[in-house]
Amino acid sequence: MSSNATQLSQQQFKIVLLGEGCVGKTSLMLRYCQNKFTENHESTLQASFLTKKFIINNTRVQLSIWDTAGQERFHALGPIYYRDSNGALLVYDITDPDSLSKVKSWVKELRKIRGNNVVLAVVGNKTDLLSPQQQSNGADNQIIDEAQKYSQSVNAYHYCTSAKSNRGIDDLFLDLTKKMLAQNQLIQEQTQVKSRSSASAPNQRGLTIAADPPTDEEEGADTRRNKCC
Amino acid sequence: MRSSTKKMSEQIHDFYQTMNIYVTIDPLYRELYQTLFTRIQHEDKDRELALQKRIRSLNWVMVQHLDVDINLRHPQTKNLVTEAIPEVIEMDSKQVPLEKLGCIVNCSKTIFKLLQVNSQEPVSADQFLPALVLIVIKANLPLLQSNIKLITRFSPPSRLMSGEVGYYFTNLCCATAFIENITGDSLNMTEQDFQSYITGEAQPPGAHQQSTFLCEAFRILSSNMAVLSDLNDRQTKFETQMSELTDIVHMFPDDMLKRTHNALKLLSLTV
Repeated sequence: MSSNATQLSQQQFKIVLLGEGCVGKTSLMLRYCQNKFTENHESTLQASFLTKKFIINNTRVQLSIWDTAGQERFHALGPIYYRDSNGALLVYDITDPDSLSKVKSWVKELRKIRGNNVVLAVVGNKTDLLSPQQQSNGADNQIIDEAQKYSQSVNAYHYCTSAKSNRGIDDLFLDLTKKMLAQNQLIQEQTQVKSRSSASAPNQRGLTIAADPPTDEEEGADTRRNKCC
Repeated sequence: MRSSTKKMSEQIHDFYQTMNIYVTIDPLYRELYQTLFTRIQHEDKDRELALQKRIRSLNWVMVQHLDVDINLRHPQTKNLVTEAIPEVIEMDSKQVPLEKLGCIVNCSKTIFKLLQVNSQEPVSADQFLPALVLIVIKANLPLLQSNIKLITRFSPPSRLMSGEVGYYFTNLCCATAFIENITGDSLNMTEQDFQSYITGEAQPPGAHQQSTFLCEAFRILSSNMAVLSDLNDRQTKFETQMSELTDIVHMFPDDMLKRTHNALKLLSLTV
């Protein structure tokens, strides 16, 4: 991140999108990748696999977002989708407590299979359905409160979005990307440390740099987000 | 000096190109293909046979069992279904993994079109995966398991794990895993019903209707029937309009006479 290299480094990330049928994960994805939200999205053939490219912290990043089938009958197939994923978006509907309990079961599974190699983001969608009062008062909603507490307990990040009014989505993906970059750096450092018996000075420096800023930002980002919903 | 650099660059390009041909459409690989593929087939013969048997026993599975939102009676949908099935079957006839993957991509794209016939909305995975399961069951493609295995072993992992191609391939793996572990519960029915359907003791209601849509002759028959009933409707409409017209024609002289009388009356009054 703090390298002096003139060339941009490249990173590819695979993000799996998990969520029950009506939580709006497709709208979320389309809103982010194509900035579209209409009652019927014309011209787009599919919204199950989309990519987005951008540059962040001198790194060229390509996100590929994999939508997964959320029906209960396909639940057992999750592990096939999770393979090699760097991040996971677990979407629930802030008006539907059942969709949050589904998220919890996915979190357990993801942690079991990918361990700490995956960055989890729990996303409460449809904030536009909250009353204006609730929106200004911050997290007044019981489901959101519960989700926030739960996310903290499983080392996941919590976000609130609205695909309809395009709120919080860009922030969500940007934040997630930063965290995945940090995670990647951390894994790289760890493997380097493992491969070499003694870590050299620049390596250690890289490690601290990679690990520090995101934690600061994460606090800042969280407080900002609390205000938004 | 410059010309020599140019020459060298040409040579390097030539080298890359020929290497490219050798690597992507590798004759060595093609030569080995039969041996490789037969080996893979032998490794998991039992599993392959079990899967094939299972798919065959599931031929009664219908749109509503998987909650797929397609209407097989729609002519365009029917055409796209018949298009998607050979596309995925073609995979077995290709040798190079990349070509096999190409078949999966084609089939997936057709499925997206298929799901968009009725709704204009972009297709999400919630609709795509069940539709793919249905197509895989209807296609019953030969050596599905071995083909998947061959692709997994002889493709670069990055191709299978990321990118659009990887996504479609993963979905095919999911569909196969789903079919292998299918139960009554996953098809919206009781285990008892499921067992009786799978053993062929009974057929789910409406199975006959659906199978007619998948048989070419019956499909032509049904489309002809539709055309005939449409013609019939138009005929009756035409007849009613005819009789209406005759009534009008019959009425016309009387009506005209009445009008002339009225006109004359008015005229006599003014005169």
